Amino acid sequence: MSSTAADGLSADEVRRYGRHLSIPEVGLEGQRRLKSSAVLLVGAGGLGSPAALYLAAAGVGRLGIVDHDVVELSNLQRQILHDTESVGSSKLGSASQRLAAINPHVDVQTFETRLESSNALDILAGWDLIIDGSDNFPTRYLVNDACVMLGIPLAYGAILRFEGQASLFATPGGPCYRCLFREPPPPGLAPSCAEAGVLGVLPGIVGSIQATEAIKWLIGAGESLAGRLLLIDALRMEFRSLTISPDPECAVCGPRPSITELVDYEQFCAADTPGPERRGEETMTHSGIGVAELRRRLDEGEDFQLLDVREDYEWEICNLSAAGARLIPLSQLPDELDSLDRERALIIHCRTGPRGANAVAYLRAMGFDNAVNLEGGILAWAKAFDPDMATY
Amino acid sequence: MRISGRSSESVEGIQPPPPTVSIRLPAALAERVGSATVASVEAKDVHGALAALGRAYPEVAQLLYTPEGTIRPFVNIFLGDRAVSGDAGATETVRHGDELRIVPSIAGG
Repeated sequence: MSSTAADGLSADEVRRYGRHLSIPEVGLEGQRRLKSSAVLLVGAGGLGSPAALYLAAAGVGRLGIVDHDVVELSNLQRQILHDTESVGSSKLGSASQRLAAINPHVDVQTFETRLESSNALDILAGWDLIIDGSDNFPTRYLVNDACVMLGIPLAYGAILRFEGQASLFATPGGPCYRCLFREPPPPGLAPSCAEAGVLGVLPGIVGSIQATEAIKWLIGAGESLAGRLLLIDALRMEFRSLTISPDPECAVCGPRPSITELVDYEQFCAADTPGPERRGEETMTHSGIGVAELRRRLDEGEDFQLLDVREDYEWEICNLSAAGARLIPLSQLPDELDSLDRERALIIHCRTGPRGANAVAYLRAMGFDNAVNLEGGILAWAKAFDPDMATY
Repeated sequence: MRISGRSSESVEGIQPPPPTVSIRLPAALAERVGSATVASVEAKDVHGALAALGRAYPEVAQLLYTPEGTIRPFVNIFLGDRAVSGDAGATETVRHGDELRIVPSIAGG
């Protein structure tokens, strides 16, 4: 065989992708399609890592990665693009190196920036498919809307603890993310992986599913997840496929879209919503104290109750027991009200603030008028006054 | 079922019990409210089933519904593998053994 095979694959590539070439649904034609395809990954984290690795291994000709983060130690439990030596350095740096080592035939393009409304259309334009590996609602809505506006399919994946979701959005005639979730949950109602945790291997499953959907779409094989939402319960190892349809009133992809330009997604995701979560937001704004104020109260021997509403395992990692803190996990608070003194000042804290805000809103509704939230939570305290504290 | 010795007037007065359906909750929500991930309720329709769940776990009701009584837009309810939404979905009848599933949006990545 010549150094460049007739079908545009080098001898090395033919050997490299031999197991693909043997599959009727892939073959030389499919492999050529992969080589001529371009996939952009938003995020080089838990989902982006396995997706990027498998897309590179599969021979997708051009991979783009958008990320602005540096590698942290806590990432390594699941973000398998990175390793211990790369802690502290750019995620894109370690990603590029790793992907090049796996497959030097892949052209890796990096975008070291935060994806925003001002740059999303420019960055996403020109790719054949987008992988959503983001970790927050504003970015998810931004990516979805941009994909709909650009007419680019979006391989969706999301994870929390042991549960995952996957789908393929924004395909011709198919639903988009907003068709399924018209609006995001208000702050405080949907914990992040940092707050609630995530099984490290779970994004490996979901990210691989996203890569699978991307490959199938690019080579035109099989039945995609367009019009379906795949639910993954890793604890029970159950997979459930649910039918989803385009929303005729979808603000972005519907026949009468009200959103025709990218919006301010941070504002959209923090929009006014009635209910206890809104009380939580107001509480955080008007009923919180900073760590400096807590420091002052401790130094001056003021009397107050310090309540930690995190979970037991979080307390085991780090706590403010030396400052007099006691632990009542948020879910147990209703059963422990009698153990709190309504007449004494009450300072609530969690890891970074949202759960504390919810606790304050609840306690105030139950007559604890003195309840205030420690803004920034125990992490803010550690950063300001106890850098040796184990954090997570 | 054959009912003997009863007048037709008595048979017409007997109301069958509402069907028992299961509601599957995401684990994070179940843990938050102290429920198992699968709850069994008796109800005639989707709304009734969710209302029964809300009576058993008031915090679930708070998370599922707006103060105006509509399902929050970041939550999807599925009957079997089919989404049931809006007023039409809420009044959709359920049968014994049906499974409702609460699917909230999650954003971890």
